[in-house]
Amino acid sequence: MTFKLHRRTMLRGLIGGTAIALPLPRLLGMLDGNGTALADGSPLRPRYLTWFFGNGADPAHWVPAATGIGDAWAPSAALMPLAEFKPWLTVCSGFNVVVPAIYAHKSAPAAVLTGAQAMQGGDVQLPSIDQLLAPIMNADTAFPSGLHVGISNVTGAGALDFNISFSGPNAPNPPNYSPAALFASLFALSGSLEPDPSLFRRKKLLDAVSADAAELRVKLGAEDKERLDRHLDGVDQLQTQIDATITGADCGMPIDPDVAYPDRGADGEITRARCQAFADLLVFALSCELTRVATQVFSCAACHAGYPEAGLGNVTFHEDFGHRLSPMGVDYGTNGFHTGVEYTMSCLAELLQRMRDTPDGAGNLLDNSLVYVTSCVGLPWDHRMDDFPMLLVGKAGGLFRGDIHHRAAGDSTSRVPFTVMKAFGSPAATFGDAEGMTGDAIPEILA
Amino acid sequence: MRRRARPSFDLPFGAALCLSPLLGCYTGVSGRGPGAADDAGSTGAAVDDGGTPGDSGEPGDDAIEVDAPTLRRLTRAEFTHAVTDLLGPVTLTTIEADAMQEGFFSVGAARVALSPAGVGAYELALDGATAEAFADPTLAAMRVACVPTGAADTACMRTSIAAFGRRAWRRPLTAAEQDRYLAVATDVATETGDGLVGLRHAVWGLLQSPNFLYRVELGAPSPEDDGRVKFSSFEMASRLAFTLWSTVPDEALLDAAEADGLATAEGVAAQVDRMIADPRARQGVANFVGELYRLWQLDEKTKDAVAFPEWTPTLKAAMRDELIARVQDVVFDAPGDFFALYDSHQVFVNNELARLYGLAEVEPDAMRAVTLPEGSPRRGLIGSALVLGLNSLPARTSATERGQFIAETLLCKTVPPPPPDVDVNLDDNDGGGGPVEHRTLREKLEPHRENPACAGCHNVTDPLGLALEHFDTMGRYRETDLGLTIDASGELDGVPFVDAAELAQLLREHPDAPRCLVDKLYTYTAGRLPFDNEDELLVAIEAELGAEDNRFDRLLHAMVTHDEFRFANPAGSVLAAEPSEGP
Repeated sequence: MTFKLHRRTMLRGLIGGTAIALPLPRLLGMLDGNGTALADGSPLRPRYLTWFFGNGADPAHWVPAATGIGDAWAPSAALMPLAEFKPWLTVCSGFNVVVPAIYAHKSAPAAVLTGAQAMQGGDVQLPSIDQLLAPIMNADTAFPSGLHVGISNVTGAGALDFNISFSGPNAPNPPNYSPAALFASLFALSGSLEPDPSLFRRKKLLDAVSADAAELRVKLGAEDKERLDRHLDGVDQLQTQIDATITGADCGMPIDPDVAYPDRGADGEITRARCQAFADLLVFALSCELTRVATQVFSCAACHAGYPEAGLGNVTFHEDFGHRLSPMGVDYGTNGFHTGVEYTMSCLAELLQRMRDTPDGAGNLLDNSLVYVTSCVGLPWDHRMDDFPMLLVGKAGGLFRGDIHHRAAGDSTSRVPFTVMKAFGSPAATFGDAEGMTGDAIPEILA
Repeated sequence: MRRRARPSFDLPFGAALCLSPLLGCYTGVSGRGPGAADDAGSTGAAVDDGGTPGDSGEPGDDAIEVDAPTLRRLTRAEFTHAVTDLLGPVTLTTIEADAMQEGFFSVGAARVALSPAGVGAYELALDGATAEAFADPTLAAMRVACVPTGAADTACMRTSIAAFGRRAWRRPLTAAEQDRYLAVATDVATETGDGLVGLRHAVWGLLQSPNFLYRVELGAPSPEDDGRVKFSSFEMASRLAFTLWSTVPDEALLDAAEADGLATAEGVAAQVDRMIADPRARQGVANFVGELYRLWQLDEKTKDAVAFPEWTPTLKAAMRDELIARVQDVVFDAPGDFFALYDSHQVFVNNELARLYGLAEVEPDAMRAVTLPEGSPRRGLIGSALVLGLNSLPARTSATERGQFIAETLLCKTVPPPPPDVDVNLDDNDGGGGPVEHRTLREKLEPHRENPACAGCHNVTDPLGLALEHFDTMGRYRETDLGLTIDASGELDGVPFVDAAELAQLLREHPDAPRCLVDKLYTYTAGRLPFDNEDELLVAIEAELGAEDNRFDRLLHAMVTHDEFRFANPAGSVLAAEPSEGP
């Protein structure tokens, strides 16, 4: 026998006061008269996303010719696919990875994501920037540690595995490569469904699992306790999501990737349609504040995948173009590398376009977000770590000026994520460790 | 920072490993017998948590603290095997990826924490799997001891939960645990009016429990064994099953544990013989070599589609099947010297692979053993399409990757990562627009071996990999490289060889090969690199392997019947950093 109850009956009758309140989508009606704060006077909370692509960029192709604000600068060839987002664009050039180059393909991505050296076996020493922000701005959402998605699932020379988000050493947040799976999660949370009795059964099971874990926990050493606690965080997150499913306000429906992009390619393939599918879903989740923190890895550090849609053949982009080892010669390699970077940026543009076109408060989602775009290397064929590719896109609710090319004179790359951290209200005085540590923000790029 | 006996290669390039031109990367197998302690940078280096290099040049300068036994999350393969054993052949959606550390998923499984999203992936995968297995009473009857006749059939649910729980958790449930999952079953049964649905939910929960998803093998201090931590009979059942079968124990093994029959060396040995004779041992061995030879990486391996249209998913599957068949043959079908694998003339082919190997096609087209002609340049593991194709680039071979496979996987030599800022351009022209002058890979790699920053490692890898230049990036024989004569000669540890076939023979006879295999299997089994104080044990296991004519099934037997497999050091035991054996 199954039974069906009206959503509100369910809410009151079955779980009553135990339901937790999740943030509602930020519609204009919920804001104050100016659209600059919530109706109760609390400030708008911006969203954050790390967008990572492997294999770096050629500064000659990437760095805009002129520096300055507004009309003073124009996008470079590599950034032309982002030209329509110039008002939201902060190009940070002239920053160098100052962490020693110990591990090819590891030291640099670890430095720009965590501010510290990599470990050969254990990936990173410190949490990545998104995981520093999550506790201060995302704890009350359905995905407290954020949403983490990926386009390519091809490995990269043993770099940081597939990961760009780390809660700490040996605690990665691996990307989800399946738009269909993410759609299913978000659809359940969208508030557009009648809650199902199976939700309550799932909660019972998770309660039993938590009880098992609590009994096991007391027998464990310190490191195992940490690992089990992280497992329990996941159990708690599921419980939260079930509550959110039951109580969530109606956000409308996320776009079903199987309907919109039936021919998008297999999970893990690099295609524009897969970028579009994830862009739809990320924008839905961020807009509805199901999470305020997310990461997207287009391709992992030193990724060995190919970019067939960019006309670059079924070869590994890393070898043939990143290292210019194509049998067609060095010039072909250089040009193909530039083509691949432009293609990569055009896939990023799919996300930015949807953010700009999604109303949020008095403006749009791009106004109220910040996207940190970076890579694993500078000029790839020499494994350079200077003049590193770093962009910030969006204004984070007015915290960032936008439309600026700021060029540093070889400053530490850590200054860029540190600036983001401080802008988002982190109380931390520094970011990173050892050579990579900084307490120096970049005032020029802030509003 | 706490110092631990977690041996590691976390040494920056240019530090201990490559500073000395004498030692270079050629550190040899860790802790191997007299003089081994002089090998700076061998696996005994104490390294602190921050990844800063330990002062490995002076062994014995630090006491190191041993880790207690740790939880190991089931690898994806172990999870899949276990769920299949418990629920039958069910569809499993994707769960969180394994983490590779020290070359093994089994080591990553002991160190890396699951992400919060990973918990949801388990829930989803097991939702589908249990729904499929409990879709009707007939199916369910194959998986549980008793199928409830109705929502009120509590006694039956209790019986099934106890039996299923013992198998899934590799130990009996406590009374409280039984009650916990019985409450789940009866609540859901009452709500839905269906006892089977209730039981299915209990099973779904049992499989989401950390008691299933992690190997909980913690041991307890044993007063009659000098206070050493001893694994219980049930913990031993779990250790044996995951090591030998890559899955959960069967009922016979659990019954032996229930009678406390795995508390002694004799009791364990009795089960081990049975387990190695069981077909599931093939799954266990395939899983070990799958991790050791990185078979999983074949999926994503691409080749230039224009130059190598033969590189198809079916060819890749045949290459993988062949490698497993070669191993199964020497371990189970015709048990003999495992190192025959290194220089055998026997290959296994279907017609697609036969074409690649230049062999005749036959009807019907099925995987079969074929002996290559005497004098064939293709010999042994290093002549397999899998090893050749996996350790190559999309458009060309890689002597460095192939050499690294031989040096690291077969001989346990340490090859550190390349220094950053290297010029990796091996192209024929320099982009200057002049006529392309083709050079052999050997010629292109010369600069690496002349540059002191590169030579330490490339002198290890390149001569070995260049011996395989007669095989293209897919592993197909070629007489020349774009018309240029291939020089496949070289030397391995001072012994010259003229071609790949001779190198294969040298590998089979190499004095480091047995100890390397022992170290690899030990690392896989223990979920960590060996501690320095375990050298004596590893020497003993190597001796046992030699005494048993290098049979891998006997190596497995030795690996799990030695006392150390039944005991662990208590957390915080302090060991001398210096290897324990005398000069």
